Amino acid sequence: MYVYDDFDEKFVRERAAQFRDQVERRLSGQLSEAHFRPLRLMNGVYLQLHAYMLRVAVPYGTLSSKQMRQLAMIATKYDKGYGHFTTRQNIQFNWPKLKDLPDILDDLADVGMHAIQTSGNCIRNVTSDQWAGVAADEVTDPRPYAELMRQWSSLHPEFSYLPRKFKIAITGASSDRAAIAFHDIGIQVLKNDNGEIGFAVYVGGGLGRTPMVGKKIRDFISLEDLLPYLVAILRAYNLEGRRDNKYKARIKILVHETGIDEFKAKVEKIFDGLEKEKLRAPAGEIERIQGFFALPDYASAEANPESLSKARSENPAFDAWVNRNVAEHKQAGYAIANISLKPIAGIPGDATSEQMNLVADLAETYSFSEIRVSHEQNLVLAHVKETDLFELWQALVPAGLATANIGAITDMITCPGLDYCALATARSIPVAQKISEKFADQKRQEEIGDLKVKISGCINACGHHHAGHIGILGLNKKGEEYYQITLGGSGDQAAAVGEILGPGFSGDDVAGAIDTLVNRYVELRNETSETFLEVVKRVGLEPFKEALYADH
Amino acid sequence: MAKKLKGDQVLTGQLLREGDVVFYAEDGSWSSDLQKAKVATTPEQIDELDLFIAKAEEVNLVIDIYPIVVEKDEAGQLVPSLIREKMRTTGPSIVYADF
Repeated sequence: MYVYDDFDEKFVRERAAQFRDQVERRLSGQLSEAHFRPLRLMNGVYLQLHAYMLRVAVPYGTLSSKQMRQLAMIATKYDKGYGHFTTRQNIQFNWPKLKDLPDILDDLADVGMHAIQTSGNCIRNVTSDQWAGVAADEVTDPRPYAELMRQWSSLHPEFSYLPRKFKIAITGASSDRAAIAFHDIGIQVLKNDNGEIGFAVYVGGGLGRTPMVGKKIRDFISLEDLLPYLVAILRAYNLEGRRDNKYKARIKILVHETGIDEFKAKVEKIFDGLEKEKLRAPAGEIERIQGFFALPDYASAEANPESLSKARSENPAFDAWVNRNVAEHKQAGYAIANISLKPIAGIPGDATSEQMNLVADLAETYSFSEIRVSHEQNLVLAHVKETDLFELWQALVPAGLATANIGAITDMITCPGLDYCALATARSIPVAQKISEKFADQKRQEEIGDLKVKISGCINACGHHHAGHIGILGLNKKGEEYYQITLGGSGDQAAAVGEILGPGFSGDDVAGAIDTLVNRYVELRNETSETFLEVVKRVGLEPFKEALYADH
Repeated sequence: MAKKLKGDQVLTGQLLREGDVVFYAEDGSWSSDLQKAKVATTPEQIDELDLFIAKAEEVNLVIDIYPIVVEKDEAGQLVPSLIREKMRTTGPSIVYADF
């Protein structure tokens, strides 16, 4: 794991001290709310529906046990004993008090964490594949490049006041688990024919009220030119992105309105004129960073151990968990254990302090003290010996952390919605809970297979509904919550924006409507391996519309 | 100035130090209890509340102050008309941090 150097340590401490002073001046009245608001937002502090909210960055979703314990401590000491993991691999605390926030930032700095650039019109936390470094389908670990971008983008003077927020995601795998196509810049790590590392670069993707799939702007940019190329894109955006209309200010609108060819020409022209040598990472820097991400010292471990087969055959619940939540690891004898934060009828992405502490302990015992957060709001222990899986599962069960549903219909991305969010138009969490209850039966979930349902409580689309195989968007019509359903979206390497099926449903009727759609899918599929998206592609939306609206 | 709201109104905001939701009360204090809120029913009273916002913000105790429309339910209790404000008044509709 990356460890702060003196520079990181110093700037995080300085920012915490500055914020303490700003809060003191705000509380004493020296700073007005109008002056203070942008300052608190630069430190991840929002004013939400019921309270302040603090969003803490988890760079590319990697945490140490020590950091997780500190998050648990903060949740207990300053909040209501829980935190919420987000679709950008961050964690949010829903109830901090302004007077406590300087202390919280100091506590975060003690473990090399902060809330800088988790809000505002700047480059946000760079996100990545939660299986980075260990995925079987990976070219190479993308996190050293994510870390390089974190260092480059932190407090970047030219890009601190962009027209709008800016999100970058990077993956090193052929299966995109980081939704790179829906980011302002999406990066895929590649190796060319000479075995050199480089990057395919996508630009102008995003969700929100105007969903767009990112367009490829470069097939291959070399490692040394990654930062200069990002500078060229950001500079083009910073100069030409709209500042007159918040809703048209993201780079996706600029790319769409300019056209990718013309936008690319502008970027390339800026790129050609850059003094690249000055913008490249210093010699040896990427190697230095890579040193922090070296894979742990794996012990020789037995692959497919007898003990695992025995435990699976004797414990159907464990077997279901291994089937759903355990993924293939690069290293023989090891596995990736995914911890679902989607208990049946629970709140997607929430974890109590006790759960955070337990995961920290389990990571220490079984996974080299390292934890990952996924953009689908789950946790991951990335290096577990196959011989330890049964013990790990037994420890997760009593804590409510052994739900066997990763990638299944009850593993929904869900935004906080109107239960917490000042921008929301409808609630998301209760809808997710009803759907989760409806599909609670493990056998039925397995019969349905992989299916991604994503729920947002407003058109800002924090719940990624556009990218859901089934997407649900909560709106407000004449004072009542209602929910629009979309089909056919996808957030992976075959990224697509879902299409609206028809008139919306009330909160009470959504789960039933999803049930109808799923039943129709099961009837329509030619074989159990035909996925939901394949069926939608083959038959179109009509059969689903008929199923939903025939009686209306 | 924002569009004029229609109906009986109260002022709401959030405590600067804590962030808690509060309502401007009959006795001139800020209360977490909507039932204690000062209700403006006439156009003159509503204008008075609107004018009070800037003054109240100067006191530096409550932030993000704005008027909301309220109604009385069958039991005579004040309830906000909009679902957003209902949620804001009652807190999350879900049982949180309880696994």
